[in-house]
Amino acid sequence: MTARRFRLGLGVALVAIIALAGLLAPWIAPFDPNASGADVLSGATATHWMGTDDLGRDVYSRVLHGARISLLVGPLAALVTAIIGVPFGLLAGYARGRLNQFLVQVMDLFIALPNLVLALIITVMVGATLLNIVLVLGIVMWPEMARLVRGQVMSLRETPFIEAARSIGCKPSRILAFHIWPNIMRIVAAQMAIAVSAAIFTAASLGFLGLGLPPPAADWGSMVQSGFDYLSLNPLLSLAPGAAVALTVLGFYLVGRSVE
Amino acid sequence: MLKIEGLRTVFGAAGLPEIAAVDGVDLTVARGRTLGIVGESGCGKSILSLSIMRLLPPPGRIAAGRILFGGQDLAALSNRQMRQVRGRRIAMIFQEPMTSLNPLRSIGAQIAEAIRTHDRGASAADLRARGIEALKRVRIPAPERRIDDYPHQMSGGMRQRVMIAMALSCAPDLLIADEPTTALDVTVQAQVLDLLRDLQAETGMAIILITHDLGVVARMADEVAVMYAGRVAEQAGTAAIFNDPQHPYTLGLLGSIPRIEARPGRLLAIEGTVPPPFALPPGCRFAPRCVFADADCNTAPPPLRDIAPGQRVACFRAPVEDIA
Repeated sequence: MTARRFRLGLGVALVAIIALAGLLAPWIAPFDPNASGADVLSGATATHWMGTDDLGRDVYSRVLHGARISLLVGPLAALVTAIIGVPFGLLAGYARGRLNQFLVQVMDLFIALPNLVLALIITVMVGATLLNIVLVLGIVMWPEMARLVRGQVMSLRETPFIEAARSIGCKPSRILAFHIWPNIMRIVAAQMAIAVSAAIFTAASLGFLGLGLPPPAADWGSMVQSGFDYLSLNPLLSLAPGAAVALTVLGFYLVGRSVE
Repeated sequence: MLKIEGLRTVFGAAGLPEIAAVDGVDLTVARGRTLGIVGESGCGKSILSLSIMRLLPPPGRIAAGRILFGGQDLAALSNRQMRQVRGRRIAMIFQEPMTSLNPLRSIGAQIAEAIRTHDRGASAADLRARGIEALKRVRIPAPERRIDDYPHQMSGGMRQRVMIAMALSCAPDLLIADEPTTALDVTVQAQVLDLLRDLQAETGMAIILITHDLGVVARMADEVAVMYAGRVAEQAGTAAIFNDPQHPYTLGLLGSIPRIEARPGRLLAIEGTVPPPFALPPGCRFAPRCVFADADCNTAPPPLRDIAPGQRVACFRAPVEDIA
């Protein structure tokens, strides 16, 4: 219990710090994240806390602004995941017979495909815009949500209060919406927090593989990748955005696991 | 009002032999009357009630027979038509009051749902008034306050009253009560049974009471059907069942009840166990455990036949008085 409270507290604290950094970025960032300066590839100094990149942009300011992108992409992708996965899972959990078999097979097919590879292929085809990345992540991640919801529905379906609802003449749609959904909302919320962390991680991976948001956007994954060539000159170029990804992912993951 | 003819309910997955949980049952219940259905666990009494409601868990299905109710054959209705019957004309209460209510919704919302399912036009204020009225009928004190309570704020007896209020909110013609008091304390049991009887007197509904408790049956039922291994062994008026049982199984059941007035001694138990549904004897299903069984009993299943006015027995050797 105390270990759980500690994890929850740590997760909430991390998420809060990242969220504040992202919200306040325009005011607390010392430089314009996209403005080039004369000082190229400097190490950490009093003016540039994390140094500058190959175009002379302030790394600290870019990391702060990168939080805005991650906090937009992660939750939106989790929302898409839920919008596709929850209705699918509800139906797959409640339906019997052929419909059930069909839905489960569709789900298994998507689960069998590796997330990152599928995301890469679709992103290459549709192009890396913010909206596309959100949609791609949702499309890649929904089966996990659907599987979780399906399992919950299948165990709830057998409980006496669902049988009682059927015995008063409730339609299946009503049973799903009013009796089953409220009882799994909490678990879905926890899974969404985990989906946020997975989405941020996958988005960063896409960025690292060159499929992040197009320049000059301060995309953490792209920043790690572009800093790779200059590790010996300024390691913070890669390490700072990398650490930001790790802490954000950890924060959302801890929140999700401790609510579950 | 309800007439069941030759009902056979089977369970069977593809490729496996079907198992009949209810195998050729005939029963009738009249308006304002209570039919008690008694039998051991696994005799098919709960599957019988779920068959009437058409709420069988897959892969269960009605394989043969008719369930005539108010001029319709329930076994032949579409799912949509059946939903119009459930709750509105036949209602059901269950064994587990602790888990038969949705833990996340107030009892008012759940009663309102039962009403609105069959009366789309009801307004919110109307639903609340009718909910309070329904709680008042089942004698829940301070119904104006309790209607906003959640299930966890109520005791088991209270919750069973709420279940009854929900079941009766649309004035059904038939109430199926599946072990309604098994999970309750003895004193609460008596209150709930009295309540059911009073409500029946008020509304004239018929009740099918499913139980393994012969004390409950004696208190509540007008007629009793004794089930054994998916079939009706004996059906008669309650007095006849208790005073003049004719089926050896009924005799055995009655012998196994402890009585205060009897002299202390060993309780009679029926030897053996109920045969599993996939290994039924070819003749009378009770024959292997029956002290009166002879060679005839193992040849063919005995038909249910009239042995006295209003008393039917499925036994070749009945009446028991004739067995030397």
